[in-house]
Amino acid sequence: MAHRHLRRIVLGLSPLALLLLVWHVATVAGAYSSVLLPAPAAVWLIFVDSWPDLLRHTGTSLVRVLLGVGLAFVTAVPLGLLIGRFRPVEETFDWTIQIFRCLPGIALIPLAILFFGIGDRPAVILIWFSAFWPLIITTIFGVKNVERTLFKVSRAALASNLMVFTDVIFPSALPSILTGLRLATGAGWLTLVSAEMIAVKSGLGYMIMYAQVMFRADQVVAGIILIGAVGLFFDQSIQLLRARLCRWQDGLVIQ
Amino acid sequence: MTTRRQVLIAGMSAVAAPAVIPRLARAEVSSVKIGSVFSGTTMQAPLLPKYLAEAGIKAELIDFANITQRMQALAAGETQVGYASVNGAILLASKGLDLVTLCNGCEGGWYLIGKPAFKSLSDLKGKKIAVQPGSIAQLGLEWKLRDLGIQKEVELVFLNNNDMPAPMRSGEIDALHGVEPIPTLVRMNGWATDIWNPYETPLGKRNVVLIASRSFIAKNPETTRQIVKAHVRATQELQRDNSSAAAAMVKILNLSPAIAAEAMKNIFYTSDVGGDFGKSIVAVGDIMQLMGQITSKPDWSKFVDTSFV
Amino acid sequence: MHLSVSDVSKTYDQRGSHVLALDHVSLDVAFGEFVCLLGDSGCGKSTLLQIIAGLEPASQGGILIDGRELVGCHPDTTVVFQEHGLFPWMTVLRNIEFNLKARGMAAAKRHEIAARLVETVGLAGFEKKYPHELSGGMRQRVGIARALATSPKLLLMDEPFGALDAQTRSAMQAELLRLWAAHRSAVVFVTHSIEEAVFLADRIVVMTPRPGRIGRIIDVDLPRPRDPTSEAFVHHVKIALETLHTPRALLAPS
Repeated sequence: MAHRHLRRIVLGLSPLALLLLVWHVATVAGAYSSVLLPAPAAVWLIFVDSWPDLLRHTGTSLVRVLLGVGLAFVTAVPLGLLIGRFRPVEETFDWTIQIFRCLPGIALIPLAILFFGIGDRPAVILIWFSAFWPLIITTIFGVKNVERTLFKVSRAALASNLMVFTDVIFPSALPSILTGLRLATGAGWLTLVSAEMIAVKSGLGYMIMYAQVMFRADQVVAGIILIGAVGLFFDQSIQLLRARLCRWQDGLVIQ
Repeated sequence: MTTRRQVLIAGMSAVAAPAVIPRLARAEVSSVKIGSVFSGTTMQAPLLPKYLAEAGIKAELIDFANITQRMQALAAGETQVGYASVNGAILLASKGLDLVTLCNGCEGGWYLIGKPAFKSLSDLKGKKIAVQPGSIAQLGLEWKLRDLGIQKEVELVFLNNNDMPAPMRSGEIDALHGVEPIPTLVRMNGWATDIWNPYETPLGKRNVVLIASRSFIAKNPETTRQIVKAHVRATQELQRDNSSAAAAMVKILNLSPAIAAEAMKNIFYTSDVGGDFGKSIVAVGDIMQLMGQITSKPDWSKFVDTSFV
Repeated sequence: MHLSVSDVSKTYDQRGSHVLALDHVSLDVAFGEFVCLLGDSGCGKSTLLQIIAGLEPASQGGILIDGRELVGCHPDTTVVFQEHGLFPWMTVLRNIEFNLKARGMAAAKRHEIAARLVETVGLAGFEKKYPHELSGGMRQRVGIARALATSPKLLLMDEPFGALDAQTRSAMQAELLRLWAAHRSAVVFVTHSIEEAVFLADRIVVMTPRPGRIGRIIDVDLPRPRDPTSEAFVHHVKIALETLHTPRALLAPS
């Protein structure tokens, strides 16, 4: 067990270490101007010197992503359950979903400003928007994959429609929904940078945007690293959650 | 059989070739990429290829989505020459990039407007002003607010220039310090009125300049001369008649011709490098340092080279 | 409790053409009786079971339970499904509780019943296991326990032991008879195994395919436990075998 843990860490970090090495060599060799590509040491200094700022920016971004993805979860999952269960509901929403899921959040910034103004609201809405589609699609997929027999079992048991949703469809679709949550969280972080361009004064996206404008490549890279790290943390947390909630799948599927 | 058209073309090249080609030393590049952003203040850019073609230089105009990308492309050597706001150029030069200001490009082009209730900047205490981060407008506004001692009391809201009209109209921001044609568009729609003439700072109307990298200039002095010359001629064309610039604004930004024409009145194309042009650039650098945007200044003697004009 | 299958026909639409799955089937099952529906695949035995369960509508005719037309599923009927039909995310205990929960029984009460049934079907110690952690026979025990939890008057079983190996299968058959003796209800049991039918049933309804009809009803009047090697047992197997393999035209109308 300990051995497997160690192997996971070594293997998981090796591409990142390689990247760091290439980055270091590139800066030492002077392949790019330091205005464009800062040295790893310069980025490290940002973490050392400005960690309170970084912490504050990370905190605000975290809240926005959690809010946006959380909103997406409570809207997309119930709707996805209904769409997957009832054919007319699916026929109503299918085309709309297929159209909207292809839209990138950044293209919607002007509309977000028009409808939701500036500041936190459009930022959270944009994250919600980008997180909504992967969640609803995986939820529908999850519902459609519920074993047909189980519906018959429920009917024969005289289970109410509500109980079929809470006790049969939802738990059966949960692994798929949690996969959707992973995708949604990733999409949320992706959209964050665009979302925080709309008149907010904090957050990692804002920090990166302003650092770009001021040509502070060291801050840009620090922001990118933070987003990546927080994204990884989120992903691992959802995996853990899945392992806990879907313990019944142990040995049934490859995780 | 030789058509009349072919004869005509052959004749034209016969006239043009001896006049142009010998002027270029063989080692110099025969094509250049010009970086720009579509905006009312960089309207010489689309005219440059026409004038450079007359000098036998193929020019490709690359429009970037925003000013940051444009500057990054120049810094990365993807474009050889470009239009840049003077503060952006100073910012990069102060970080050691070998940028050179070749010529003046455009003056003015921005304005501070807001809700009619506000008559001056001092009225905007506790209020929100939208400004594009990194723009010369931001620099000037921050300087002025500091000068008035109210920089802590006014909230600057960072928005892309084109995103400003909607929140101004809905009243979510109280004023905007935008680049043309946005202020004119908002004003003529009746969503805001003039609050402050932004040219009354040490920055004056200094705005867009023509820049290139020092290494490019060193390797291609004759090409550089032709670029500057084309720029001067494009500027003169716009000074004579800016209707082509207004028409482009109408077409690309989907504006009414009346708004475009009105916006042009606040944009001053110039290639004038006389008088205190050099001094005014140093003044911009001073303010940037004062506002904490740069920590060291570029080598001014190398940063400004107007000898090609 | 009396079940009456009254002149039931069932047609399916399959790629535009009508397929007659059941053709004028009538059958009566009395309370306490163990009836096997025996036949090769495609004879409509499973379809008939689904219709009795109220999970499928009949195209013609109907099901009467105690003389009343059946609409939907009946509360006194439960079904044990082919391949068990357990909820993979529920523990053994929660699977058994499902039918009780669907009827709105309080948690404590249904817990108690489920715990007792776990003992009854010999799964003590496996309460917290998930279905995939159990063997095939154990899963089917859970399926039966779930069906028994509501004390049904009619137990419908759709080839419940079809996927089990021979040894487990005969153990489960004996187990089922024990439970049936203890719980006493009518059982309609679908199978394609003649030996299974003869071992379990009071009456065997032999069905013939295309379209599904009742070929013959064989009374198995043998004392339990039955010995599959006895002469009488083998005799009944023969009768059933003959019925299955006799052309329809030779069979007397039932």
